[in-house]
Amino acid sequence: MAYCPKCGVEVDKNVKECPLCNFPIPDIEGMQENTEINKFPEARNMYIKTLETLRNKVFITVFLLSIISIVIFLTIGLIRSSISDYMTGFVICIMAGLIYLFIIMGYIPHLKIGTGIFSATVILQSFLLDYIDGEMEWSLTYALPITISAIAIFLLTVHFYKKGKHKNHFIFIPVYTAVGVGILSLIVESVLSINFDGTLKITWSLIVFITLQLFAVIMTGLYNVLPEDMREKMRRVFHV
Amino acid sequence: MKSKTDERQWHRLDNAAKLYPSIVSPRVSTVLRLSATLNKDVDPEILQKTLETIMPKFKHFLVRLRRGLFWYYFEEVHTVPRVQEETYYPCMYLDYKKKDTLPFRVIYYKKRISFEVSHSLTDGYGAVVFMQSLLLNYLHLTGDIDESANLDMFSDYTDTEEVYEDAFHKYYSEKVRAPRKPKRAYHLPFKLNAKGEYFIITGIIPSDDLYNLAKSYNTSVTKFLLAVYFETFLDFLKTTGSETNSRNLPVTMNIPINLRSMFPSKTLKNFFVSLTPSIDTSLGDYTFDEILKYIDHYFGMRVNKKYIQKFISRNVASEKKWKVRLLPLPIKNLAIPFIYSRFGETNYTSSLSNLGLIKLPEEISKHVDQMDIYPPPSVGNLTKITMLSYNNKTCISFGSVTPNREIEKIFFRKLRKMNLHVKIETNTQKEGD
Repeated sequence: MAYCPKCGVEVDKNVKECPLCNFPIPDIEGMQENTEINKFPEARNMYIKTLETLRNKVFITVFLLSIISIVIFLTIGLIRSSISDYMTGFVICIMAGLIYLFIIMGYIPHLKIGTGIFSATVILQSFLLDYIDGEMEWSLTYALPITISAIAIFLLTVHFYKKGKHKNHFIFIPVYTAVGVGILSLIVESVLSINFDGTLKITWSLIVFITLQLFAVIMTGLYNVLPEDMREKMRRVFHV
Repeated sequence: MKSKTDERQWHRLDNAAKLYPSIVSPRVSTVLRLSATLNKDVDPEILQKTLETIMPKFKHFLVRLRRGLFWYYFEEVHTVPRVQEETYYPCMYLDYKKKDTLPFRVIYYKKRISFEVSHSLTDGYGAVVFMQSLLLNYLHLTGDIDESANLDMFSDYTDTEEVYEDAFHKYYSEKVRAPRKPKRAYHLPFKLNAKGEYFIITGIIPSDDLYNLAKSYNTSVTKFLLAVYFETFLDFLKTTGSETNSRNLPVTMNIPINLRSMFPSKTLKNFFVSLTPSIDTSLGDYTFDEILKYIDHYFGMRVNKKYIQKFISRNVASEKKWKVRLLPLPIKNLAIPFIYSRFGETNYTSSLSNLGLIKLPEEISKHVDQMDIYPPPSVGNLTKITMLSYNNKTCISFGSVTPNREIEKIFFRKLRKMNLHVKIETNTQKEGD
């Protein structure tokens, strides 16, 4: 019979770790291997299944509605040629929207692949929208650099967050988001100002950047360093 | 022409059950499980046939939940559900507010038959009655019991209208005053596990050894284990959890007492009240004997017909008020979760429910090796104990919605130190893992 040496309780023979204290159960020689069958099935999680069904239902509904609206917009575009450019724009947006929804609802479990498809869609969508009237006006100069830098910052932020292994995600997700958004705002303004005036001028984004970094520093400080430190100082100064 | 619904019987939810449909959620399923492990693999076809045979007798269970204007009620149905192979965690959410979902399920896995039922339909006692009949008929159909066996030995619960009675109302007396309310209790500081996961740790102890040990302390098995459970929490608060009770909240246990022996009734609805012994942690350390003495006095004072009446009176009085009754159901649904957490689970740390000794007729019991009962999962009390004794095995099952095993570990190590043999079974381990 198999026993946990720490708890002293008997366990089933096929059990490798004590269910109470996770101590490995010694494998005594001559012990019959796996003669005892598992008392429980490898349980599946019922809640995840219901959630998946719900997700599929939502996506299929949106998908069908989008198909219908695409057909309607294309028909209107054919009949009224004066507004056909708008209609093509709508159709492009709906198709891109479907792809975004597909990714956001978690159908692609791998983060990097999902982000890659997402950014490719954004770039393609902006090209197409820009090209409806036959001329490339803003997609290459504005949309492309901003999209690429936003995606890069997003991936970097996620990478660093995961590497950081912080326990309290209520504190640290806002902190990392603040840092990321701060940097992005700098890039957005530089892209805008270079394209607009041809010179690099930074005003509002600097304010945003500094505010958000301050927020991040204060949050991290409050959580990690300051309280204990300050308490110690207070104790030193005010002890009686 | 008579419409279909006119022919259908309906019955009210009993006093305790009235709360449950308003608080069910994927995490708080209010579903308990009673299972029996046979000495050979279960045949699903025969089990299905068995269910079809006995369900018409247990009309009380063959119902679905409907919404009235003021209360939920159960309406009779005629379809017998399919038995299912066990695939999910135990005691999982039964969405019985949906039209085609009955408030119970019968599942099987290898040698084990399990009956999972919503607490709004019956309590542990009712589950035992149903399981006994299910086993008898199943073994009859497999040919393990000879033809002459009396298949109606549980007719007390099948051929009578008495199973529908709300025994709380039967023994309610208007003039009895309610007992004092318990206060806010200590709660375990553990993390919740993922939605839809439920961990069971069952400790199997030889019943005679346990009985003799309790006897040597001059007490009953329930009181003895309750004392061990109290001491477990006090030990936890002294060591690992020493910083988690800065407010010195008391450790309070919820002990359901089956009232059928004290107040005769054949009801299959809920008929229990909860006693709440409580240990004040601000008074310092307690020895085991002190805890045991306290429990003895506590139960000695309360477990008698007179005092229990106070609990019945408290439960029924709130339901009888006109201003409560006339509130429309949707408003009740909004209010009841708050009431339940305020007057229910906030006020106890955990619960221990002992179904006692399960006796099966000789011809059934030789085919049934083990019986287990699991508590319904609950967010308010992260771990709870239910237990029963059968075939000289006392199966103490912890149902837990947290990955933390500290309480179970301290509890079973204590029993082990008292020289009781403990065998652990769990659904958390995977083969070869």
